[in-house]
Amino acid sequence: MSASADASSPQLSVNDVRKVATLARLALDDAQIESSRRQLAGVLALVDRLRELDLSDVEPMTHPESRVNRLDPDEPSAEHARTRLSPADLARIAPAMDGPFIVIPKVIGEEGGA
Amino acid sequence: MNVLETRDAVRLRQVSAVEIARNALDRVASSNPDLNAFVQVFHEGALEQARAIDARLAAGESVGPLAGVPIALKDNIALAWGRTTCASRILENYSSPFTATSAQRLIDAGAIIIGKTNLDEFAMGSSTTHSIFGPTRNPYARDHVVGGSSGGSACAVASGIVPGALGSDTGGSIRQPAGFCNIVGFKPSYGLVSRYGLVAYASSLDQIGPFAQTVADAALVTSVMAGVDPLDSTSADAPAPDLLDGLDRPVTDLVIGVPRQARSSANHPAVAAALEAAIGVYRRAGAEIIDVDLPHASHGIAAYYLIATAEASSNLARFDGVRYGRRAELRPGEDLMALYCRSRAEGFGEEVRRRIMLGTHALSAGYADAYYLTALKVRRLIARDFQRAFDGHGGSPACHALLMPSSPSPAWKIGEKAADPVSEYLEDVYTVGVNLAGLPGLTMPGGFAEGPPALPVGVQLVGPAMRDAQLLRIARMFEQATGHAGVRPRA
Repeated sequence: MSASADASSPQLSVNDVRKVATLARLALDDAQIESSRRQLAGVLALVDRLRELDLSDVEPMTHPESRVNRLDPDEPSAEHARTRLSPADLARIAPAMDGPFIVIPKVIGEEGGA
Repeated sequence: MNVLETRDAVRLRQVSAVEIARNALDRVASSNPDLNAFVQVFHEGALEQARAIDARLAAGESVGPLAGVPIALKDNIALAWGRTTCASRILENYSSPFTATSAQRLIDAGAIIIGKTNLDEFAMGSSTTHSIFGPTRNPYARDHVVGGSSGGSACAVASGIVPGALGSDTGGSIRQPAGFCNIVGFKPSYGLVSRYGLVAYASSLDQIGPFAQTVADAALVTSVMAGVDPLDSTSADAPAPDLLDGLDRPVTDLVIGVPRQARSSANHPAVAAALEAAIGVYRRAGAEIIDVDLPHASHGIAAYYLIATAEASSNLARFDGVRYGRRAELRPGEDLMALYCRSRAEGFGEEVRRRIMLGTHALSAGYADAYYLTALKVRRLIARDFQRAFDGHGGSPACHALLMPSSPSPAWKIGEKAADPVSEYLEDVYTVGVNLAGLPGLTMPGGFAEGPPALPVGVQLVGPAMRDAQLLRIARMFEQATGHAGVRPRA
């Protein structure tokens, strides 16, 4: 299936599913790609029923409330203070520390690195 | 003892908070190996909190409205101690540096946090079987599901381990397990309770709410949590309502709408019977019962599974082994992209992977209009259908609430729907519309299917947005007229 606006068929090729897996950042093996293809096709067959409806004059609804997000005054509050993290808090949840530094895997500059 | 009874007994010093906490911890120890409701228990932390309550009482100091009440939290609600796992391998060792606002407000009110409860991974599921900790079992029939995704919390309350627990409800994850477990489950209006510290599944649908044995308990726990939170810009900017105030006052000139679509021939006979019985209860209470039409209800599942998974694919992008979560081992020559992809594939379970794939597809170039945008338009139609029922439409009077099942069937056998994910999605037909529209919904005990096993059946009330107090009063009328909640599971 080409990546066009015409999604009228729930048929999905293995390549379509591989592309979705890449976009989703999921390393799936061939068996998982095939089972994903079957299951996605099943769900898409269900959701394709939405196309029965005439939606030409309907505004999309992204959120239960019509108003936009509430903006806070630009000043610290007690609630915000509750969320402030100390270096010790951060060290506690970091996967690895070297002195005051958080250790991450070396990925820049390696062969094939991002 | 329920929440209010426990609180009152502790306040009057008829029993110490430590004794209450010890009893709850003892019940976890004796029941949990069988039920698998709890995934973490805070023995020392709970006793420490309880000792602090007793010390305040001994010193004649005031205590909060939940003083000494043992509460369990679904394990997608952050606490600054223990772990917040979401029942996922990718977060199995994750410690949150902060506490969710909902949990913090309960703690500030004197609640004792006994532990964290099992769930479908990242709240994605309707059975509490999609969990790295294994399935939670239904206290009324151990080989049956407890419902989900907040199944551990439902089980913890239904089995009497704790009088109250928190869940989260994105498409029915509080109301459906409450129905499967013969307890009250309340999903407040979107925005009534802060989502800060709730690990996001679908941000425009997620809402935290309580499980309890009584409507009054659910009202009390919700009141404590409710109110604007500067840390959640989607929390409703309104004063926190006292939902207990006037709870026992029946709603006069009550009009209850019964959606034509809720009387589906696909309903299990016990579900159909419970709905008709509930209609009878309200009619005898003097309510006018009218038929209403929700013409787009049958499209709710499709719209929901597109919107929820689209939001999930974005919300769960942060779990990549670097920003958050268990990291796969970096292999020689592997780049960052490969590390992300393997960390996520190894860390997420099958149902979560499936939903991320669906949501990614629904948002991808070339398909977003056909899927995601279409679903958002259908969402508008579904919300409009509800609003028409609440406003009065086509000569019909305005409804105070709608009455419908909480699910089309009672609990199914563990494993029965494992091979066909869509069959589990279809069980959400009566709950997802409420989340799409942002409305309050409440499940209450509605009776039992003919056994064996005699499985509980829930009935659901749905009300207008931010009219939560009225909805609870209508639920209280039903509770006062029926005795279903008194039938507890055998230990």
